[in-house]
This record gives sequence, C-alpha cells and structure tokens, in this order.
Amino acid sequence: MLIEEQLVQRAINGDKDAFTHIYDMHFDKIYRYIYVKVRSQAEAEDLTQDVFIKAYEGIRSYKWRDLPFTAWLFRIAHNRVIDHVRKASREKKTGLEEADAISSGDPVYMSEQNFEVYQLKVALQQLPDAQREVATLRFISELSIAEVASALGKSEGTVKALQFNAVASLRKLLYGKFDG
Amino acid sequence: MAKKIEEAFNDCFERLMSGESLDSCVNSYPEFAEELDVMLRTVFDVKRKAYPVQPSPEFKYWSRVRLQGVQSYLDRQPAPSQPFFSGLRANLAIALASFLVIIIVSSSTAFASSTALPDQPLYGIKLAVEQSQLALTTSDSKKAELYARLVEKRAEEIAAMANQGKSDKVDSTTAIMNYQLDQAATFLQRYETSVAEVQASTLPAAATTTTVPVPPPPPQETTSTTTATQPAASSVTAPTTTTGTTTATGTSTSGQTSGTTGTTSTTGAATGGASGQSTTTTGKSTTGTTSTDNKTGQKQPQQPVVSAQRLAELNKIKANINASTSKSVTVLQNALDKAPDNARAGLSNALDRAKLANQKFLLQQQQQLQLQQQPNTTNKGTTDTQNTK
Repeated sequence: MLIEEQLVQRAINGDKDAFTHIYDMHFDKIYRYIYVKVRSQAEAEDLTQDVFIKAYEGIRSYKWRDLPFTAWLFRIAHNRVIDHVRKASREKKTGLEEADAISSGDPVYMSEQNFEVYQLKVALQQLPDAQREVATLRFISELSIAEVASALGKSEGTVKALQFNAVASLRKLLYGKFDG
Repeated sequence: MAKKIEEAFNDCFERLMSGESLDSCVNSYPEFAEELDVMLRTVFDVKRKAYPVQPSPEFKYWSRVRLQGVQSYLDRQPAPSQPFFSGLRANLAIALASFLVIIIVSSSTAFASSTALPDQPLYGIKLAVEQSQLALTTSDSKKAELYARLVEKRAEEIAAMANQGKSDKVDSTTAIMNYQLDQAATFLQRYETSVAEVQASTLPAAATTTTVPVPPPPPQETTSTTTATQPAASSVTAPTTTTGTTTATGTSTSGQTSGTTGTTSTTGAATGGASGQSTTTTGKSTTGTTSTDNKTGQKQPQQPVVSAQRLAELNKIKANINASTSKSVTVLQNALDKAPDNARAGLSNALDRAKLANQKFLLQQQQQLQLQQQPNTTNKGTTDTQNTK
C-alpha cells in the first residue's frame, strides 16, 4: 500500500511513468469489474480505457486522505458503467447472449468458456445491488475487504455480511441450492 | 452466530487465497465446517467461471500506447483552462492522441527511443515505432520473422527489468512478449497454409494423372490414358494431329484440351513451365503438375519447382524464428540465474512461455521436413508405376 501511495503522489506531481505503473497494477482488475457489468468485450474495452483517461485527467485533484486510490479508481469505473448502462438503455437493446456471441473470437474454443461467463453474468445481475457490487469487487476484481469497504463507503463488517449473503445467493442461482 | 460465520467465511477465504488447504481451513471452524465447505467451494467455482475474463494482451498493449498518447496530449494543454479538451468527446480525444503518437513516431525521437527500456519515458515511442514497422510489412512470412525479432527484444528488456528487480515491468513486458509470440505463430501459420494450398493443388494432380510413355503414334492416332478421377478429366477430347503427338491431360476443371500441331494444352495448369515446352495455361494455377514431352512422352515437373522454392523459404523462415526464440530462451535463462527474488516469479513465467513457443516452433519445423519428404516419395512412386507400365 505504501508503494502505491508513493506512486500516486508522484503521479499527482505529474510523473507520467508513475501513472503508467498505477495503470499496470489496476488495469486487469478494472477490466474484469467492467466486463461482468456490460454486454460485450468491446464495451468493456472502451470503458476500461475511459476509466484510465478520466483518472489521469482527475489525478491532480485527488487526495489520498479522502479515499484510498483503489477505491477512488473503482468509483470512477462504477460511475462510468452507470452512465454507459443508462445511455445504452435509451438505445436499442442487445441481449447479453447475442453480445457475447458477437464478441467471442474462435466460436468453438470460446463457446464453453463464454457460456460459463454468461451464466455468471446472469447470476450476478439477479443479485441485489449491494451484494452484486461486493461480489464483483471481491471475487472478480479481487479487492481486499478494506478496499471494497472504502469503494462502497460501507463498514468492513457490512461488507463481510454482504459477501456471505452474495455467495449464498450465487449458489442458489447457479446450482439451484440454498445452503447459506 | 450469523456474524461469526460471516467472519469465519472471510477468514477462510483469505487463508485459502494465501495457499492454505480447504480442509485445514474448514477444520479450524468445526461448528461451521459443513456450511463453510459448501460456501467456499461456491466461491472458487465463481472465480473459476470468471477466470477467462481477462483483457487480451493486444488490447492491453494498445490501450497503454493510447494512454501515453493522451498523456502527451494533455500535458501540452494550458493547465488553468482546458475548454478545448473538455468540450471534446472522449473518442475524439483518443483519435487526436493517436494522431499525436504517429507524429511523435515520425520525429527523430523515434531513433533515440530504440534502446529505451520499459521503465523509461521513450519506451512507448519505441513500441509505436515497432508497430509502424509491422504496418509497413505486408507479407505474412516477413511479419512472422519481425514478430520473432521483437520477441528477442522483449526478452532482453525482461532480463534487464528483472536484473533491476522491477517485477511489475517484467510482468507488463512479458504480456507484450506473449502477444508477439502468438502473432509470430499466427503469421507463420498463415504462410504455411498458403504454401500448403499450393502443395495440395499440385500433389493430387501428380497422383491422379498417369501418362503412359508411348512411341510416336501413326497419323490420326493419339494415345491418352487418364485416370478419370474427376468428371472433367474424363471428358477430355484428344486432339487430332497429323504429325504424331502424345497428348497428356492434366487434371482439369473444365476438361478443355486442344492441340493441333503437337502441343499440349492443359486447362487450369501450372504456375510456370520449367522446361520451355509448349503449354497453354488457362485460369487459376491450381492443378496440373506434369506435362508430357511431345516426342519422348516423358513427364516434366513444373509446379514442384515453385513449391520447392516456397518450401525452402518456409524452412528458412522457421529456422530464423527458431533462432530468435532460442536466443530469447537463453537470455531469459541467464537472467533467471542472476535475478533478485522479487523478479524471479515473473521471469520464470516469461521463460516458460518462451520455452513453450520455442518447442512448438521446433516441432513445426521437424514436421515440415517430414512433409517435404512425403511428396517426393509420392511422386517417385507414381513415376515408377508409370515406368513399369
């Protein structure tokens, strides 16, 4: 965390290389977070780029003491996804399935993996908002409990409860069982 | 109770992520063991399902280059008021930034960047220069070779970064190297396919066309023995000649054969005659590997000459790619011996990937050599059969 804090401070001072380090550290996590929330790979790619451009534009006004950097970055991603979904809902809708099929590369190789990802996306969509956010940040983007709590503005205890309930719901949705 | 199991679940999840076994973790909470086991298995299944969700190396690479372009663009804007940029849509800004990258690449900075390492400011320009080189390379074979040479550069950069203990740079450069290895394999495959298509178009014809060498026939007589494996071939009309002709029929898509004065016409035939005999070619060069000398009735190879050239070129390309990947493996292996601990894992990944690619290319080269031997054997067999007849 200390290293990240130093990197962020250097980026705030205009060190482009430091920002590139930050970009490398968070790129995959942001991409995965967005991917499970939108319809296609192309949308996820566009939005991921947007998030980092917005972060670069806004980093000089960022203050660590207000919010840890990871939480700040994921809030940008969350807001960007919300804007996108709102905009998309005003336009003609494309089903998740269709969008995924279009975005996949080799249909034979990708079909099984795509189906599992599609299953997961559908299950996540059916969770209550707070559970979905926690499950996505925790299990897809692999953030720590503290980072999730900061990003969502909730206590760690609340996040742990939401996490547990999200897993119980996912179990029911994915396998038709309810154990938790 | 509920709070306890939530805490226990989170604790177990953290411990599992750190490498502890499921049993050991669950057994430390005997009161929740059964429930925890089920829940933790669910989480791992969710993570497994989500595993394929990864940005492609190509996208990561280009996104990084684009971000650097945007950074350069933004840094040139006046700090206090940015009405121009803030009024632009993001995609327009990206387009402008990409344009800026091209301008930068064309400047003398590009030259200075050629030795830049991933932790240096000019590295982005170095990558952009490489992209422009790739864009200017149109042939699949040359692209495959160029990608392999870029892999060599990446291996040296990974080694340098590992030596400095910059594990994050090792990982990001490895991602680029992996992408470039994939691209080298893809373009090599494409080139192989094009060579194989030429081969495929020549070999069946050689195998199905059987021409019997006969002495010059009397006037008004022609002898043509053709295995009728294709309807078109069976409909070939032997030319009538007054000077004594042996007519050979290549496997033809139209079966159109004409001959008036001792010439052989083969529709859809070869890409070039090797023996200067009178051969009329029509249409696409897809079939027909032999023609018959009018006087001797001996078969003359035509397309195999062209194919042999392409196969030789393919072998040369494969040898070059093998040399590049072997060198990359050596560089990474040497670096691994000296690397500090924090960079060893990333370096080891890069080495494994380079080794795998190297083995794959070597295997392909061996298969190619075997394939090259097979057609020769087939041709020889056909000729022998004919001579026996």
